[in-house]
Amino acid sequence: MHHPNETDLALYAGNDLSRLARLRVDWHLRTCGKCQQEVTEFSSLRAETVRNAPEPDVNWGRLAAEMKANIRLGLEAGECIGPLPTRHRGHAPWTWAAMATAALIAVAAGSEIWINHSWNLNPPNDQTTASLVPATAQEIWLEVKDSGIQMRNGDSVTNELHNNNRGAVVSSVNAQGGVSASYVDRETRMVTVNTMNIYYGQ
Amino acid sequence: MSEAAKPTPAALEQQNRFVEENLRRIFRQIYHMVGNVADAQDLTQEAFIKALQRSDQLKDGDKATHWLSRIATNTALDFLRRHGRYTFCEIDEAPEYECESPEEILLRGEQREYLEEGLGVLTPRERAALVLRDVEDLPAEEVARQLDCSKATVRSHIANARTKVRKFMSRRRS
Repeated sequence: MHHPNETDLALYAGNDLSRLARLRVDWHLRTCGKCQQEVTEFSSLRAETVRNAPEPDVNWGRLAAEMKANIRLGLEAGECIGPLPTRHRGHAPWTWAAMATAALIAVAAGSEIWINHSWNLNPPNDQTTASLVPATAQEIWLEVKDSGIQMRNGDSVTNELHNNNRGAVVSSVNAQGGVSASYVDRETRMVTVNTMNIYYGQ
Repeated sequence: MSEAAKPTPAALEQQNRFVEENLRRIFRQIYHMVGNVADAQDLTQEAFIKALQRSDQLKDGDKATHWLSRIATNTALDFLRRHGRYTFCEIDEAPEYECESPEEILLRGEQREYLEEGLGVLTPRERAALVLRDVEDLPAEEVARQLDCSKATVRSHIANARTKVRKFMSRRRS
């Protein structure tokens, strides 16, 4: 008996064979238990792949807000730099788009503050004034203002100031529970991302 | 400084809607290809920035969606080629189903672990073809468009992927 090859059986299991090839395999399977068994195994594996495909366990609202802010920033960097050059075969693959994206990821000129404190996170909807809301009035506040990131602890105020020569500030509450303020420097055309994270312990 | 024309409020609104409607789908697709949240986040952002910089392509809704998926697939493939890595989150990070018994959770964890390792033996294009066809349930024609190759090549990638994963799983279980 001439059996279909393994490739055809793998494709048959996912309904990916052409009509004619499918008919040929159909005909063969009526009388061949061994090939039926192989098709069953491929079908189960396919079902298992779908069932066990991992789903990311993330706070989607916060992740989406962070991604949207970063996309907006990347686009603003592109607008600041100018239109994309036409890409020709043989040219260096570093387009402005790639550079803007790399800058976004690589040039994270950030400052991080470690504070022993407990927090209730309450990310705002307004992306221009991201802030963390503390549990009580005596606790610490982080807020992105137009001038910089401000940390308030009772009467004490600390400011991480933005560069004066900048474009619009894009702010967000990041997935780690801190705040980020990002902008394009008009002079250097670099993207700056300032981040303040709160790390708390017992 | 060469200032490009700022998008109009209407264009901005169109861009925001485009991001809103497609963000989750594209993130999920890339996540299944690269296997971890941090890389999937970076690549999703990169794909949208690339897509939105060609705003003339957004006029036709359906076309724009396919075009974005194609950019996302290529961005993830480029990443996998450069880094050759595929790292899923630890099993204990993966969500569990509330109605499952401890034995079922254990079994599911084991199956998921086998599958993740099985996907790890595939080439980036085989993995992309398998994810797009079997997990995302796209027709083979669409997978071919996204991978920029013929339907015959996609079939070959899919068959190789299923065969390799099956062999891996049967070795692992025996």
